Amino acid sequence: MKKEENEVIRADRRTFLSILPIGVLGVVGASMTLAAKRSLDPETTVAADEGWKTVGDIAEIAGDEPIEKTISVTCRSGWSKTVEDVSVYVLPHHDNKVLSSVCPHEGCPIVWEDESKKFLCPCHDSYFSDKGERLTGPAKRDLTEYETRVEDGKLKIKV
Amino acid sequence: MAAELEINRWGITNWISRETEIKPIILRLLDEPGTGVSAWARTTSGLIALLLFVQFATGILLAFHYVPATANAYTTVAFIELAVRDGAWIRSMHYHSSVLLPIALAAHILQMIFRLSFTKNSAAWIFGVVLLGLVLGAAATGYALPWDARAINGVNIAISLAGNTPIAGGFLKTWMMNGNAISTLTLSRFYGLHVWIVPMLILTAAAMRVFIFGKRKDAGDEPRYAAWARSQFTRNALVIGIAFLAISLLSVVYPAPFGPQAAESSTYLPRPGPQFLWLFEMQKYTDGTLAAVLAMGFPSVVIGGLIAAAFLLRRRVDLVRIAAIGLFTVAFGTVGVLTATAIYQDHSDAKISEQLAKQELDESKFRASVFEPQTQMPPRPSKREENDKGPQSSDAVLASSSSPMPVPSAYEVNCAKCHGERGEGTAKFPELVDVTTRDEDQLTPDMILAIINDPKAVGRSSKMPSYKNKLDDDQKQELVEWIKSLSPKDPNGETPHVQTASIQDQKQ
Repeated sequence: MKKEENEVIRADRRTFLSILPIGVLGVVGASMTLAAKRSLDPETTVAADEGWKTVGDIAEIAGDEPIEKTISVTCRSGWSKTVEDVSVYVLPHHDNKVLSSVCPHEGCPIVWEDESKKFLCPCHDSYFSDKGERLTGPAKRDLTEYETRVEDGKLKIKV
Repeated sequence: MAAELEINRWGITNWISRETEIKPIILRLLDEPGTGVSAWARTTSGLIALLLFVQFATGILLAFHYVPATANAYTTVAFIELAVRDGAWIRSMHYHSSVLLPIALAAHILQMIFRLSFTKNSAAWIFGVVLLGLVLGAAATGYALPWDARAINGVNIAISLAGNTPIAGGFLKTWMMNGNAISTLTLSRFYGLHVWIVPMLILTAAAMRVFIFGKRKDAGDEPRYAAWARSQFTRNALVIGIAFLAISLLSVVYPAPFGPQAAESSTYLPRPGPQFLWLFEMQKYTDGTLAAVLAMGFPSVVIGGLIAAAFLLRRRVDLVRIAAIGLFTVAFGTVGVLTATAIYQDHSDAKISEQLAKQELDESKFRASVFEPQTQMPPRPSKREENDKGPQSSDAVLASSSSPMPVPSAYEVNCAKCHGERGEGTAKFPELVDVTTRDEDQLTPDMILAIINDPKAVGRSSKMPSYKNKLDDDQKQELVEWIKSLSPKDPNGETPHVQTASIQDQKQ
């Protein structure tokens, strides 16, 4: 009986000695992994400044074709702050509606085709009407419209 | 065979030991059996393995956020310290482990001297000594990366020591600077050495230790060996666990030093990490070639001498041991005395200790502050797109995509310190990039000129001095034209290239 008990104790000690070091190294590894996860979790402070941005003088916006305008948006991403030009289309022939130039399919910048009087996305041939309505192609939605207002004779959009 | 299976009962570990060479390597690493004090002394290997692991792990994490260019390095390190989750702790772990590595290696070398490792296991011995040289190299190159006041002073000193080296001095200096002045290219050199060359050398040395030079001892007694290996593994793991806990707490309480941005402070006293205080103290008494020879010769002689012990007088091991102990005592004694003197001198000088206390206070204020992002140059159309727009003068084609006009020398000398190398601004001073277009300014050329002449007269920053008498009219005009050219869209509809041409016309 005694001999068997000794065997059990020795087996326990053996198991302990193999679990202890692996446990300790596991804790060290887990701590570093946790720090890695936390420090590499996606940056949540990526943000553009929000508010009303001037697109142009209302007096200068005229005609029966979309006009491309650029607005400057300050983008903050982590340690860096950049002023980026964002392209929009103003539709003087449709109550000065302002459309985003980003294709709703996969985000390519759309272009205005003069001959066909349509917006074209050069990436996958999505076509949109001169009002921004989806016509053909893989895009499932119309072009995104900005909220607009007129202040002191200037057309503004909310970004 | 039964004994081997005993260690690895679990399926996956069984598979690993059956299909890979891991197990003989682990057994090889564990040296010959031992008990008591000697076995615990040998846990210095575990400690070093932990510290190297921490260095690689935290180093890689830091690399995810750091940018090795002088314009961004300081900001990105401040970002790591203030904004990245656990960033300050990660950087602190990296710093404290770099300080502890040479100490752990000294202890490792000392215990190996007593065990006569240089004859019995010369690969382990040489590896330990070479590693000491490599971790000092890693610390020396890593010192430059934050590009704070400490780093820039450190780089100045390193370049000067390199330049004063006999024979190779000129080459070393230009190579380290990567040009004829300290610039962003210098930082690239230190970065490449710190994150690629030195870690690769450390990994290569470790691989050679394990795969090439390693020899298995006492292979006959497998069961005893296996049992011993298991308990030595346990000892190492315990030491690793305790050390990791200690370094983690140390890193929470004492953050890694981070000095001010170089442009801001002239009173700052740069002090190196504890592992380089001996070098710092040495520089107080030496100059020129002597300083360079001592700074590089001293560690070289110590490391070379200790390596040589593995090849000397194999039959008179005791004699070599005495020589090794002698060299060790002299070398580390010298380091100890110099380090203690450096600390004592800083403490006993009232003026210095007051300034150092002030620096500590400034640093804790910085740590309590909110991170302010750095304003970057807006993206510019690439050269190709510009060419697409039609034929342009050859000057326009030659001009780089980000700088339509060359930076005037008057700007580099007088303005760049505060407004950034290319008008991008610094932490405390405004950017010039879009002063002609941005809503709050919309400066005309005349207004820019007025600000250069007397900023206070036009209600501008009280910190900017007047340049009325410091610059001549041509220089001022050149500055105005250049600042105008920075704006992404000129209100007059002129392209920057036209302005380049007009400047040249004026000169002719």
